[in-house]
Order: sequence, then C-alpha cells, then structure tokens
Amino acid sequence: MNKIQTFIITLLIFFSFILNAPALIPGELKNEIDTGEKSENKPEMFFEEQVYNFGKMYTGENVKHEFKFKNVGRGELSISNVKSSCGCTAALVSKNKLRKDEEGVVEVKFNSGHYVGKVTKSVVVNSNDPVNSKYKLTITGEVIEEVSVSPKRINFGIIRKGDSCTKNIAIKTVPELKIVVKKVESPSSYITITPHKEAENSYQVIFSNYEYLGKFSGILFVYTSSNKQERIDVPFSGEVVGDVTFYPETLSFGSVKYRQDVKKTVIINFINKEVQIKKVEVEPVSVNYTISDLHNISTKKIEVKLGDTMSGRITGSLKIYTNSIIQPVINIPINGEIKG
Amino acid sequence: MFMKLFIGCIVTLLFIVSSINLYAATEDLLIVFSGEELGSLEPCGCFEGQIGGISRRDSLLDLLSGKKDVILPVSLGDLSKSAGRQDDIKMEILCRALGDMDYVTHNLGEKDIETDPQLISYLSQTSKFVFLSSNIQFTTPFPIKINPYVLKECMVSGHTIKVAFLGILSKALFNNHASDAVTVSEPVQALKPLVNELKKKASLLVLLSHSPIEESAEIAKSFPEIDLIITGHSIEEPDGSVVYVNSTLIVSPGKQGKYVGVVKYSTHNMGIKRKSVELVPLDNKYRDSQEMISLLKEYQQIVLDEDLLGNVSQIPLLDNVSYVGSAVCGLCHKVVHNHWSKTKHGVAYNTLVSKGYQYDPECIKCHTTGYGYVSGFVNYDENNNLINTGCESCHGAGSPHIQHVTEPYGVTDEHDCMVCHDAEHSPKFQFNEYWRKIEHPEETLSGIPKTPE
Repeated sequence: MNKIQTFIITLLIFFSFILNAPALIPGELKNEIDTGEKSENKPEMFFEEQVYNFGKMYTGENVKHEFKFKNVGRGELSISNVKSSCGCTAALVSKNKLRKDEEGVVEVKFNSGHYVGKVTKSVVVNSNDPVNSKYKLTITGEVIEEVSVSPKRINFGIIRKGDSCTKNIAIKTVPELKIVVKKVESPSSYITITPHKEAENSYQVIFSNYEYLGKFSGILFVYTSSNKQERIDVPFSGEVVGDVTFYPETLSFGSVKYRQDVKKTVIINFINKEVQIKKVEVEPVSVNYTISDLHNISTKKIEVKLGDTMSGRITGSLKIYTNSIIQPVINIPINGEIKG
Repeated sequence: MFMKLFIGCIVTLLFIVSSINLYAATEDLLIVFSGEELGSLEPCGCFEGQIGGISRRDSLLDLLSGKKDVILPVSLGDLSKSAGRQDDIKMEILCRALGDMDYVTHNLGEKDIETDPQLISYLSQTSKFVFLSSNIQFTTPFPIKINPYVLKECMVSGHTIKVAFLGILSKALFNNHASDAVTVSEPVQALKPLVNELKKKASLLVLLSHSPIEESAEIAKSFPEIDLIITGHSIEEPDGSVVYVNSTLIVSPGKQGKYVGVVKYSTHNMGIKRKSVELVPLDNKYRDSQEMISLLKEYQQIVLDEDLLGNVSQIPLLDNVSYVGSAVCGLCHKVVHNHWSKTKHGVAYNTLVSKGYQYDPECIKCHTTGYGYVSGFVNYDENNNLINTGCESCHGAGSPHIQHVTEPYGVTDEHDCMVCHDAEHSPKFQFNEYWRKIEHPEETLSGIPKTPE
C-alpha cells in the first residue's frame, strides 16, 4: 500500500509540475534557456573587438575597418552571411569556412553619404556557432559638415498681419579648411537678410511687408567656397494670421462609397474676439453641415457631411461669412470622389 | 482504503487541472505601444520583406482583442517627420488610425511640435484619443488641448485597475529654433508633482518618455514608482533595447512603426504584476486590415485632390542649368539610352503607376528626373520626358553638356546613388552589386570624349 501511495503522490507532483511549468517560465527567459546549450565539438566564433569608433569624419567621406575573428571552438565554423543594418554599411568576410584556431576578417565599410551627426551602424555575422549564431559588430562615430547652418530650417511661427518677425542664422565652417561664405540670399521679396555686425557669418533674417494671410514658405540660399557644399538651402516657413484662423484649409473627403457616413470637421478660432460668423454656405447643396461651440465661444466646430451626394467627383466649397474687415469670407474648398 | 485514496487523488488532480484552466482564462492587462512613425503609414514597397504599417498594426490589435485581455494602446510620439502639407495629411491620417484602433493617448515628440500649431490645435480637439505631455506648454492664439497625464480605469479579471500615463519630451531633443510658441520644461521637475499625486491614485504608473534610453534610465532612478517606461529615440532594432533599472522596465518600440511592443500584466487581490514584455515585428504574418486599407486609399486620393505634386516649390539649380530629358540624351547616346531603358531606372515611373502612387511627391522624387527643381519633373501632363530615373538623375542636369559637349560633364559616384538608395528605401543597397545592374556600355562618339560612367 505504501508503494501505491508513494506512486500516486509522485504522479500528482509530476502532473502538477508539468502543467504549471509553462506559466512559470516568463517569455523573456525562454531565449536564455534555449541558447544555453554548449557542446565541446561545436565551433565558436570569437571577435577581438565588437565595436569600432572611427572618431570624426566629414560628410561624404568613407571609412573602412577590419574586425578580426577566430574559431576558438573544435568544430568547423561556417559563416552563412553578413547582414548590414543599412545600405550605407557594406561588409565582406575573408573566408566562409574556418577550421579550429583559424582566423578571419570581416571588413566593414561605412559610407557617410548625406549623414550628419552621431552614427551607430551595425552588421550581423550569421554562423553555425551554437551559442552566438548572430554576432553583432558595431561601427560608430560622428559625421561632421564642412559648413553647417543653424538652424537648418527657419520657423517664423505665427505672425499677426502687419507685424514683422526677425530670426537669426549662424553659419559655421571648419577653420582649417578656410571656407568662405560668399553670400546669403532669398528670392522672396518679403525676406531681408542683413549680416550681424558683431558676429562673423551670422545673419538677421527679417520677414516683413507680406500682403497675404495664411501660410508662407520659401528658401534661403547660402553660397560657400566649399566643393562639397557649394550651396546650402535653408527652408523657411510661417503663417500670417488675421482675425480668424481655421483648419483644415481644404476639406478633402478622399474616395468614399455612396451614402457612406463620412464627416469632416473644420475648427474656427476667433483671434479677434469681436468677430462673429454671420452665415455659412456650402456647395454642393447635398452636403450638410452643423455648427457648434467648442469648449468656449472663441472656437467653433463645423461638421460637414456628404449626405445624399451622387456618385462621381465632388467639387465645391464651404463659405463662412464673418463681420471681420480683413476676412469677410473664408473659403474652404471641398473635394473628393464618391464611388458606387 | 485504496479506492478512497485513488478518488482523493483524482479529485486533487482535477482541482489542479481546473485551476490551471481557470488561470489560462484569466484576463490580463496589455499595455500595447508604438511610436516614432515619422510619417510611415505603410511599408513604402521599395523592396521585399519590409515590416511595419498601420494596416498590420490594426490586425495585430484585432488579434489581441480577440482574446479576453484588456488592451490599452498608447503612442510614444513623432507621428510626422517634418513640416509641410504632405506631413500634415499623414499626421491627420495617423491620428484617425490611432483613434480607430482605440488608442488611449499620444505623447508629443519633438517632430510633432514642429508641425503646424493649427494642426496640433485641430487634432487635439477632434481626435478620439487624448494628447499627452507632462512638460510641454504651448502659447498660441488658439487652444491646444494637451493633458499632463491620463488616468485610465479598467476592469481586469474582476479587479478595478487604474493606470496612469505620463509623457515627457527630452529637452535635448527639442530644437529651440523650432517654434516660439512651445516651451519644454525639465522632465524630472515636471514629473515630480504629478508622480506624487498619481502614485496615490493609480495601480500602475507608465511613462511615455520621448528621449534617449540613457535619459529614461536616469528618470527611472528618480522615480522608482514608475513601473514601465516606454522610450527610445531613433532605435532601429528595438529587440535589443530592453533595460531594467531596479524594477522599472524600460523598452522602446523602435522607429517608423515597424514594431509594436506588448507588456503584459496580471492582476490579483494584492495589486498588479508584470508578466512579460514582447516586441512584435509587423511582418507579413499579419494581414492588412480592410479599415486601414480604406484609410490609406483615402490618403492617396487626398494627395491627388490637393495636387501635392504640383504644389511643391521648385528650387533653382546652381548656375542656371536645366534638365533636358533622357530622350534628348538618347539622340547622340543611342547605345547608352537603349541600355538604360531596359534597366529598373528606365521603368521607375511605371512601377509607381502600377501601385497607384504616381501622385505621391515622396515617391515621385526618386522615380522621375529633377522633381523639386526648376525645369525638373512636375507631372506627367507637363513633362513626360522626365519620367523615370533618367540619365540626369545620376549625371546632373544636361543643358551645359548640350551647350559644351567637349567639356567634362556627368561624373557620378556612390554618394549620388545614396540620395535615393538610402537606409529607409534601399537598406540592401551595396554599391558594387547595384552598379552592375545599371552600368551602361561605353560609347565613344566621333570628336566627343567617351560617355562618363
């Protein structure tokens, strides 16, 4: 009887262990257990270094480095492939099969192309090493420009109509290359560029005398004596606002099915609190709209629905009439296509 | 005696099995996270085996919600890549996608706040989810609705769980020149009062930390109450980025929406316990969801309707040179032109047309010649002589060569290739291998030096 008791209790313990085991092993630990085996007759790849820092180099330059490795295991090491993290990094392995104690080289080439700043690129060496079948080699460093412009993009932000706005740009060059900034200009008539008197290669960029409301954008051209960066384009953007702002500027419904319940929302913000909506018109007439306050009376929400608009292209507009002198009518084009 | 013992054992065994089944049926809480889409709505299709995309993400979330678990999806920040109309449209589409996928919140990243403030205002007031930032303040003439934290209450396995989400942007990532309307305060200072308040209210504190992992690790040291920090910036392979600082888990979703992170929690009477963390690559195991495919079609239609191709500003070329078109090159360089027309460069435009992406400026710039420059491609109707990746895409605008045929022209190298064959669109690019695919034969014309390669 004691034997039977012992057998059943053992059976119970066994069952309970088996059934609980999966719940006790967290997902994160599974890999560690799977890769934990090590055999004496298997190959083993060993790299002297896994990270190479190339320091600094200029945009457009290349760097090459050889990562030396050795098969320190007993079996033959077979390298199936070497994969790069991106097209800018190429890797070649000197030989694919290495016997015990044989050495090889993985040559990694990094092409900086148009990169700027700190870079970390890696290649993965895939082999039959049972412990470390994916060996990661990393190449790191900093790519610097011969000429750099700060900021790379000018944001004038939101400007009230009639106001002007001034931003500064600074152009830095590598002193030993003796690069000269020849000129800084913009084809936009509302942009004036003047050099700072105190700081060399620093400029004031002044936005003024813009006649329109809405978003504006353009480019400043910085011409230099650098062969690699003969001209640097610095985009700028901003928005001139009046009494009322609205979003979006176009109501695009895209491609929708006939009678599909699609609605688009327009948000109207009153910057001048005395301005009010007098009336709203919408075309085509089959398009419906509802207007409501959003959070406070300075913000209105207009919801536009296609309603029973027939199949085909939709072109129309949402016209919002106000008592503003500078923005008596806000015209928001409507477009889209109804299928089926 | 034996029978009693046997029955007792069977009952015990059944109890163990049933308790395990009960355990398997228990709901878990899943914090699902994505981030740094940078405008990537879907894999661009430039090469095989790309991962990511909102339609696969939606399918994954569908699969997860098919189980009994409670899912709270959150977004780390940087939906868009840059400022401009196309990026604005992408951000709108992404916000609608997140809303349709029942996201709880989106934390603002540095790219998000560089977009049009009116767009942020619009999206913050119309999106189905909450915009989050514990350390960003806006000063705009119109309202922007940003919450310093989100407290989400849910019922998990019969227990009421309150999850608090906080969000920060690293000051190091914020470009001071980006906008005068934005102030970013020091994250630890901004978090202190909020963490003190929320640790009394919430069962779980989650920080969406739009910052490098090293900075998030420092934040974890300051706030051991935070259980999970979703973080990382420009991390291409998030698989190897899981870090623990004491008991705080720090993990990144990587960039461009290629991965989705899932952290699983179980609940019990004593509280909540982290069970696992997983980073799921969105590969073709996940089908494309029809809902998101419709949204992507709508995006392409909007791009067409708003004529983004035609609205791009054209930059003048240096020295007032201009593009002439490959057919003009072919008048003299017949052999070279004939060879080119049979390469992938020679049919690059048609590959876009076959997928319906020929109106997308982001695609068209590498599938046509000179797009974005004065005299370059604008659209098919205006200059179909500049479709495809023509001779001048590699050799430069051809007008000076026509005027001075004996003068040096068109020397090119791998740097020029990498304008289009970049990490995002051509990660397998290796110059020597790819060069062989397009290398054209030498062609010496009488009185004219040989064609440059």
